[in-house]
Amino acid sequence: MRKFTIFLALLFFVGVEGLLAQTRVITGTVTSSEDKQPIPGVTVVVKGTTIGVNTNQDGKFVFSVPTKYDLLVFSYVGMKMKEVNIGTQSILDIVMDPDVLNMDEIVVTAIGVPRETKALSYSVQNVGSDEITKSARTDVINSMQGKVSDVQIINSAGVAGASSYIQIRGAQSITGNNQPLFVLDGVPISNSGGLNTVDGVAMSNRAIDINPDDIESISVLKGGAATALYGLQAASGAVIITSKKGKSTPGRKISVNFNTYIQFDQVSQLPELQTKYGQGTKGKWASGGRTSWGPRLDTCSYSLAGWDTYAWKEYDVDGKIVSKNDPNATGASIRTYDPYDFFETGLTTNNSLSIAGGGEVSTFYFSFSDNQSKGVIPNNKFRRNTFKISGDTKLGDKFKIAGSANYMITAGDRIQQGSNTSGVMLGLLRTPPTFDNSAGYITTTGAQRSYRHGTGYDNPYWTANMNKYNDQVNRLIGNVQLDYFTTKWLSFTYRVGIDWWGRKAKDILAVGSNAQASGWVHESMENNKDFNSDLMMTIDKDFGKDINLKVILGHNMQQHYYYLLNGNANDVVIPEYYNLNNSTAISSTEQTNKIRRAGLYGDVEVSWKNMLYLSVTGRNDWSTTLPQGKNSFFYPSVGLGWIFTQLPGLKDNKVLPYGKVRVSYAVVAKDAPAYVTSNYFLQPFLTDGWLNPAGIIFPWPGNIGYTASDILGNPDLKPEKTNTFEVGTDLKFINNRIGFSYTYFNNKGKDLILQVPIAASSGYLYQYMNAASMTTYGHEITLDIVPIKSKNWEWDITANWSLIRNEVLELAPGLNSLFLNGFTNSEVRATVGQPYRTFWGRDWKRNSAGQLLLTDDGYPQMNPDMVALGNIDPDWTAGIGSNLRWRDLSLYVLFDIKVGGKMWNGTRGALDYFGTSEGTANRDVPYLYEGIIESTGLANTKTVLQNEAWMAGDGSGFNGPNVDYLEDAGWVRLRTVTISYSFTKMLKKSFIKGLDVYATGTNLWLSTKYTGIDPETNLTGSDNAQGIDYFNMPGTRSYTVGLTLAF
Amino acid sequence: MKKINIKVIGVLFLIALTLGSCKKWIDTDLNINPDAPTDAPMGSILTTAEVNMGFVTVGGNDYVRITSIWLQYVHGIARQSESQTQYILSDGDMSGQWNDNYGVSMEDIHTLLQKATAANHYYYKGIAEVLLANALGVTTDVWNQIPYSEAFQGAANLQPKFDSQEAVYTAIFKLLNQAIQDFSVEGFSGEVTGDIIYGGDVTLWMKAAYAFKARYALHTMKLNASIMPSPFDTALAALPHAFSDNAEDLQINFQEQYDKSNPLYLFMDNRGDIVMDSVFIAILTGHQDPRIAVFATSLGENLYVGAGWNYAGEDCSLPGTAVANPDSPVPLITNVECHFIKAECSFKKGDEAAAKVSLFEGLKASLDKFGVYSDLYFQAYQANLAAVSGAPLYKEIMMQKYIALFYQAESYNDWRRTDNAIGLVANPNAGRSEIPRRFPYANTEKTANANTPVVSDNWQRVWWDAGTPSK
Repeated sequence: MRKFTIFLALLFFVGVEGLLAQTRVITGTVTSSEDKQPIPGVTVVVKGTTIGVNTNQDGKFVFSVPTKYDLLVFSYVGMKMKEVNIGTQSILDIVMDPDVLNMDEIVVTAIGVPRETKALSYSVQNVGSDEITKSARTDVINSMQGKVSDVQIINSAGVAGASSYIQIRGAQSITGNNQPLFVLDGVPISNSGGLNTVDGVAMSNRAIDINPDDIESISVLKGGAATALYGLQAASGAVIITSKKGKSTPGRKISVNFNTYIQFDQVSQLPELQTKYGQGTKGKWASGGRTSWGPRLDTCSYSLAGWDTYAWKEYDVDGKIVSKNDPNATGASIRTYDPYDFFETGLTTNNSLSIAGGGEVSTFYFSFSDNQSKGVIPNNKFRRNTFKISGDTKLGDKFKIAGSANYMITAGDRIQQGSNTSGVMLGLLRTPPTFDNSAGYITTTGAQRSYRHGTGYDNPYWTANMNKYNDQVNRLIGNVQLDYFTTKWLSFTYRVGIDWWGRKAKDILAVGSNAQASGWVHESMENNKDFNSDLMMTIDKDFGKDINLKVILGHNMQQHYYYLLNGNANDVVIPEYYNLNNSTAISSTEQTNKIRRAGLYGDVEVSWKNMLYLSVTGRNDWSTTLPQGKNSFFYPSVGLGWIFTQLPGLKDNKVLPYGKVRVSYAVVAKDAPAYVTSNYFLQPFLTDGWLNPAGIIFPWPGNIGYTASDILGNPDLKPEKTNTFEVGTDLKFINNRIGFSYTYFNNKGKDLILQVPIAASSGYLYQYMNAASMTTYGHEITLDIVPIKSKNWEWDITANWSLIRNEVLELAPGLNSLFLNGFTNSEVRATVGQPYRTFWGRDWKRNSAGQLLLTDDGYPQMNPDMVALGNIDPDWTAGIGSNLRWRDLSLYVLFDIKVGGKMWNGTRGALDYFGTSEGTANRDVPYLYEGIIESTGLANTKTVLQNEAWMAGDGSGFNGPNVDYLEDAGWVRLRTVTISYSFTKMLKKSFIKGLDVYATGTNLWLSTKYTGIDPETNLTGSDNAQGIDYFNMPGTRSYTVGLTLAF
Repeated sequence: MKKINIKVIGVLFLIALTLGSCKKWIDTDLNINPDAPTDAPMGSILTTAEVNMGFVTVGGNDYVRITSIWLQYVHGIARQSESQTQYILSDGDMSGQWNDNYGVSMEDIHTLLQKATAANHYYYKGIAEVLLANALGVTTDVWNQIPYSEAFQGAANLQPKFDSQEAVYTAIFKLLNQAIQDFSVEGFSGEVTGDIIYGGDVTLWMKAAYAFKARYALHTMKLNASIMPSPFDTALAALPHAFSDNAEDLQINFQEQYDKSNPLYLFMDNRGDIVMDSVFIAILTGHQDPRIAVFATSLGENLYVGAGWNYAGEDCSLPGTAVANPDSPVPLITNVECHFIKAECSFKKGDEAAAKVSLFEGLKASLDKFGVYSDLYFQAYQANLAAVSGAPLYKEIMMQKYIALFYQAESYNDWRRTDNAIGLVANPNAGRSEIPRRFPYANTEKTANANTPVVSDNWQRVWWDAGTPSK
């Protein structure tokens, strides 16, 4: 392994020098002043060099130190850092003091720079490896749920491989990416993907490729000051992932870690359905009928009259439904079927193994993982395998070279969903209670068997078995870092990384499917390459006793390259042979996206007496996506942290031993999407809202065909800018038994670039413009309480609370709202004067007092105009975690609270139309609409029936107003419960260094007013438009048992 | 020290390398999309413009379906089509058609017109003028005031004003006259490629231009407008220069191949939200019209069922092979229509004999076109009509035109300008006693263009339908 890392080093650097001759051997033991016990794992480094080791299990260390160096630095999480002058000693006994106040806690900040938390002028939050592992989530994003304030994470569906949306401190951009930058070991990586169309399958976002067990910690950078050095890529915050590394531990060359868990998933909340009425219309049973407005089932029985010649006997397997009084009635009661029997118990197994270690010169880390999930929908699968190797080696005492290679394979079998006549939930929930989908999905003649005689919507079993969407991702993330310690105070770092992934997807629709009766084969190949390099000079120098200066000067280069090749066969000639050439209608498209950026940045931090920390940064970026002359832009940040408890009068007081106030201001700028500065011609694809994805694909036989693009190029684009301000305080009371943090932030974005729909009469439909402005402010509070802390008992409670308010101030001249996603008449839009995500739809006619204006018959009337009906984003969110430990047994409980925020229950809107929703069981119950009769002005006293005729028109959300289908999607949920037992102490004398056994439950309890599926969902995936539920796949609750083993 | 120097030089070299390459690294030429050309030949734009006319402007999208639902050719049984049968049509439903007419269809025609004008290519120019005249006509006929004089200017005018329909009609006639002139430029013989309708034959385009002249003149018949003082005479004067054979029809021929197929076929395949309406089925069966076999699918031998106002999910006939096969053409204007225009104008000029001749010619051309001509039916029809004259004759002309132009939006224009000569009865369940007279403006245009006029409801009549010239 050592040979390998050296070889790796040789590949990139050819300045290897011999080991220095003049050395002495230093040995020692590190113990804690608290319990006098040795501390394993303490990092011991020679200041200003690459030389360093870790203490072993007995707290001992040994290494050779060149005679010319004399300063050793000891650091360990939870202990105060210690600098020791060796002098003439060769045996050192070091006693470290506990860092009760976490004064020396180090977090990774922008560009991978480690900084002491106390020095920061902004808020940063960390999630550690143990929490990530035991939350047992396939996608690392989900393992952060509820744990970080101001971070909103929405898992789009409960299917295996579904995407998760993450947003920090609200939306910053109107139509651009609002998700944070992901950084792995200092190298930005791709988290694209995860966007669903309203009628496809649930896609994965690329963060799912990461093996959570490889992660040492995640730090979340929220505001502009925190991400200023990253520049435009991190305009929406950054998620900094630091992976596990090998350690140089004397006497213990190799450590092995094995994590395993098995998880069972069940569908959680599901919409309630009626079982009182059967298939049909106007109270009469109709075989193949579209809706469930048929007869009351308790008045019916079956008839088998004329069965032999009955055309639909393979469909109506129980018999024809007739009145009990029918002469042919068998007398048997009508059976109803529970559609939810369709769902299976999901099963996930996760196994990961890592081997790590190192000596004085080199360390290495190797890991392998396998995660296999089978979803709750039949045939929905997801699998991930990862391989990782990383290491570092010291080339003498001044150079260090480190590198890693991370290879990942993910594959998904995905099922059609959403507004899709082949979607699982659409066919499942529209099925009348009297029809048995599970009695076969193909008839003896090969036709599809579904409740509408094979037309309309697919039998969910048909679509889950016949329509296959399979994708595979191969991904390689690699980086190499070279550190050069010139002197004690000056060092250079060069880091280069590449994230390459290729994705192949095959989307099959069988002949006879309702989304396209002729079937289709769509193949796509994607190739994504993100290259990043940073060259940095770091100065860290003390001036006298009181002043410390840290300077970083850096240069950054990046390239984003994306290429997509699509081949579409829009019919399938030989059924069930899925090849692009098995078609009379083949077309292909290519799409490229290439962006380059360069940046120069600087960060100067001056601290005085460990009390005042002033930080100033500046960055200039150049981007290829903006027009020449407007593509160079500078943006600064400034921050000040003041630890006021260092003041002479306050120092060392018992009640408030640590108190800090911090304030920062930053400007963050962002470039434009690629290729929007000029006009193009495209090969046309003609379609409309009804036919899509079918339509006319060019070339027309013998004629190529070009059309002027709908997008009008804008040669005057300039960067968009967001000014961010934050102020906050961190207080630690009574030996850090109570910790309190508060942050207020205020972001104001202006010249925000968005694709503005322009009047079609201009000849174009869209133009990218610097048009919008948006403001966001918020409060975040985190509170840590340790009510009990003793040898056997420890209880800590961590709570976070976030309130974010955001308002779109301006979109574009004359533009009051902008479609983000959704359906005609049910749209999520950004709206001037409203929070970013507003739901638009139709309301009832009302008077100025808001009362319904009713017809003479007593029915409300639709107002055909679209209006803003409600806000998607929550009023506030909170997470409350409690960790109770008794000896080696711990219980972790995490509640996740979301108050306010709407979700469009389009599913219920449609089911009211189809007569399968629970509400339609009351079709014969008179109902009084409270309101005013429009023609008379008098209060209504007439009751009406919410019957088929009413629901077919304005009564249901299918054709009528959707205002009543916009529901409160707040929740209180038991996000995570983990019980774990550690055998580590018990096995102390054995070769086993650690053994934890745990059981985790996810989403075990959910309380919500939402009447559909679990409201943590979104049809369009990790998209800017959230809050859309139209036959979405349901969420899940999970039960996990696992163990982590180290030896 | 020597070793240190090597390292320092190494680091400096790296710095120099990364900084030095910066200029080349940030090359804004990289921001040119490699997958889309910045210019395209005229022939390639013409192909798109023609297919657009058939697929999105005239034959697809919402325009022909909504007007055909209102004219009771077909009946909406699901989704928006069902609402449209109840005369519910909102601005949100219109964005697709409006945006396609302007941002897709007319934008390409306009681009072609500009390129042809700049290149002095009179034939591309003339063809673009004919197509633009038709696209403007289709748009203004359902929306009244529309942008034209300030439209298609891109960034130079993002909110074009709306011209009166009178101004748009003036422009339509000007474009048609200009096209006729361009096709007749002496000594010019430029080649036209990409013309999937006429294969570049400008004599046929000239005929189409005259046919449109007749149609749009006739639209103004209620008005006695200053721009078109004698619509019947104008139409009658134009028609001899228009089509003389079904083979000359201006239509987009769609194909068997799925992704080159007829928009109604694709709609029925993907959505199937409409079935035949019982009113039209009753008219066809009442006439024992042989075209029923191609206009509607049968549910059994000679069993055709249309959906009535109290439709409740029963099996109904679907639009038939004439309009809903993969390769059914979408006509823009036809020889058949010309005969009926002539019949109507002759009648209006008091020449009932000539009107009848043209009526019979129109019927025969229509039966021929749909391949269902039989002497038996045709002669019986002629015989039945021998004694008909006056208002019943006019109604019969319009009725036969209504049948012949099945699933064409021109019937909706005829219905409005003749004030329901064929005697349709509005949907009694719709809450309005009359069929709507226009489309609402598209939500997207209303949002982005402050000049969009405010229209109180869909029963407001367009300029030529209102019957009084706007001044």
